[in-house]
Amino acid sequence: MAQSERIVVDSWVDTRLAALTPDRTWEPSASAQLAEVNARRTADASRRRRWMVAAAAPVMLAVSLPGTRAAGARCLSACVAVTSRATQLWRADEPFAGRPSAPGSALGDLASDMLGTDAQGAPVRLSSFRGRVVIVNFWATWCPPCRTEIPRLNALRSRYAQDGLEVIGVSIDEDGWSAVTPFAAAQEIDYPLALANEDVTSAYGGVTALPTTFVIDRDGRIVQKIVGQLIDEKGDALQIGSVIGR
Amino acid sequence: MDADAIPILAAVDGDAEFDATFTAYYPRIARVVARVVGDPGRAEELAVETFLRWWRHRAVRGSDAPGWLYRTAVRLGLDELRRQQRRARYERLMAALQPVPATPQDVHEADDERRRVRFVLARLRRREAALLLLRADGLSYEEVAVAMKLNQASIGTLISRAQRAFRTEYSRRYGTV
Repeated sequence: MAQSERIVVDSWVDTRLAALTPDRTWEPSASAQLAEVNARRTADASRRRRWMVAAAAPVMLAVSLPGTRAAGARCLSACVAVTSRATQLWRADEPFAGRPSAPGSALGDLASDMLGTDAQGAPVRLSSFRGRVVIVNFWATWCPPCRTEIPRLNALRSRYAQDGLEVIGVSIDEDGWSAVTPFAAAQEIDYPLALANEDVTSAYGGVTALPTTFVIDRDGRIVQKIVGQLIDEKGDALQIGSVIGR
Repeated sequence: MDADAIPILAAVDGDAEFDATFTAYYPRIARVVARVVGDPGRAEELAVETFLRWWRHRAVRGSDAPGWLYRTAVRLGLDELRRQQRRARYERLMAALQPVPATPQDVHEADDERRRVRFVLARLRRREAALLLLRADGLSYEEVAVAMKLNQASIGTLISRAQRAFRTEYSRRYGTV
């Protein structure tokens, strides 16, 4: 049934389209047109060649003269600068757009990469956590407020692990790992630790009070700095939800 | 130096290929365009234009040429048809604003089957109209598929769909058939 219906449609449409068949007496002649077509091809090629010469001549002239070459280079660098500026304006709604890319300790600065060494002496680098939001918590075993917020940091890490949060405890203990390791075990610290030297603390603005906590966004920029406890009488200073995108 | 004196870009071999292809395909290309635009003179102009475009389009040579020529010719024809119909609509609108009595020739042409078919073709999608025109020109399903750069396995379905679209549009315009 479907087949016969298709054939009916075919023949009906074919009949309609057959009405367009040109008159049989009309025979388009290739030989009559060929000479004219070839003349148009020749003219077309000449015109194209002239355009190429016309376009290439000023370029060659400009390149061959030192003055125009220098002006061209200046123009190019100006274009690059304008494009760069336009990109910054385009990204103006992004936090810290256009800020310098050298590491610093102010909000919006790239955070210093080096966080110290681990218990085996291997360097702990922020860049190995790139793409994650990192809470860098400067602390020491002899600092009671630091000890108070260890459970909070453990809980934060556990709660936001799926969203890409990492917590790094950076100790400034002068006694080194011999003091930190047993303390960490006793306090059940879940998150990775590093032992900082003066280079690390000075790169983070010279940590002058403990605890001091930095929140680093996924691009490695400092988005929050909290000197003192994360939770005090004023409430929770940490704004991790907005940084992590929840 | 006179720019006209610069030798043309095409090589001798390219010229020979152009001449051979033109001689072999020009009549068929002109006729398939004439199906669309009606006027033989205009069809020949568009056929020549098709070959000139092919010559400028250096990537298409050898066995790819016939399909490219058919495809381009039908598209140029359909574009011309749509232009004609836009112009006709505009003229009808002007005539409505400044009415003049219809001549017997007007009445005859309005009833002309060829005009109806061309009107419907111009209303179809360009690919559907092209499929119907190439098929009506006697190309096999395989040749139509090559010309339109379509999968040979689906060409039957596409032509059938184009026919249904033609019938639907024709019926909508001119009543049940």
